[in-house]
Amino acid sequence: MQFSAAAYRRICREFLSSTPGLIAELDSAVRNNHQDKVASLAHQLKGSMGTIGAVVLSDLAHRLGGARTQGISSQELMGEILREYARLQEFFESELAGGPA
Amino acid sequence: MRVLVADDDFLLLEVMRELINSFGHECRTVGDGESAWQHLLADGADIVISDWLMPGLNGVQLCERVRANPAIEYPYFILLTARGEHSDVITAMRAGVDDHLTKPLDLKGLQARLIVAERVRNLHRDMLQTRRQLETANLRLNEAAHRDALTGLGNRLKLNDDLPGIHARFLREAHRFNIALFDIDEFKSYNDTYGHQKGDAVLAEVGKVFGEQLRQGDLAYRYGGEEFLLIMPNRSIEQAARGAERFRECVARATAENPQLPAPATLSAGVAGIREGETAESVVGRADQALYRAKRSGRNRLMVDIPEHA
Repeated sequence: MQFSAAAYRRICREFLSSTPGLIAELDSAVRNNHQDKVASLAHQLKGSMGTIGAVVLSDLAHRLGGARTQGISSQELMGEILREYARLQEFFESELAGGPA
Repeated sequence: MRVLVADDDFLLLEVMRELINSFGHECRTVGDGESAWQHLLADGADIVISDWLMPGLNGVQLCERVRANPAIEYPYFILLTARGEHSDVITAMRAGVDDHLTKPLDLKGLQARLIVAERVRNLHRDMLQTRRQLETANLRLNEAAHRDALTGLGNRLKLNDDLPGIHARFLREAHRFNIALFDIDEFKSYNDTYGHQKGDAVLAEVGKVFGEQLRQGDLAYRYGGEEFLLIMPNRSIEQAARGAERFRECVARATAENPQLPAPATLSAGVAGIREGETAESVVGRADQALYRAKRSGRNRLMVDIPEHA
């Protein structure tokens, strides 16, 4: 499946504009130990990242969703998510900066 | 195909729009179920792809609304879900969903489902078109079956359909009605003398006069070969007799003035009004007896069957 350059840029822009809110909300839910909200937002992030092929972040979100039942530290997973997300943000920003205007 | 995608994940919406447009479809996206519903009411869609869990109206509720509204032409409905449990899918299918896709989105899976959706949608469209053509054909057939082709008037079948309703109204609301039966005088002789084509022209002329002279609420039929029947509701027997006489005079004048006809034609007529407790067949029978008396008395005249309790 190959997107046109213009379509790819639109998807990059959408990633950069629509995901920060979701990540911030998820981080806040983890900090405040709102477990149902964490499960729901992690589920949403998993689907969204899976759709664009961001498999590492999608997998981390999946693990965060099940962290409560598997005895894994949500804080640690959230830290990994934030690092992976920052890496993706950087990647998409560079894609936009390097592509045609 | 016009594809509507509803999801509260804007990144997914963007990806879907690009993909679906690249497959040659026309994709619209909305961020929640209520917006999808408003879009479907206003513009419709051939294919709906909806997330299950959305704020407000969810995907299954949206599908139920769509299926319950006959004004919305059947869209192929695909539910996007992360729920993999079999029982959930069954619930969705029972609500009217045609297919489902699980998240994260499998792009080949989406493409495959759109191929099936287009095929099914085209089948639905063909079926709908065939049904509309059949309905139109049935209406035309029904109209043709109840109309006499030569005179343009209702035929005996139409009379048999109409008369019970008129009689029921008489029983229910005491709406009286009168029947006038007409017969073209010496019609066999007219045919023998001038030929059947001229006889048919006389029948057509009588039909034309009856059609033109009908008053609001009156109904005219070709009753048999050269017999015509008029139903005149809400009038006294005297008014009905005057009305029937007017038809006789108009036919005599029109056939005399028609240059295509070799000779004028006259009508004999019998008129009867419905009585309390009487059947529709009985009042037609009395009008027929009055017509018979008009014939026996020398033709080209009208006889009234005077009611016993007028």
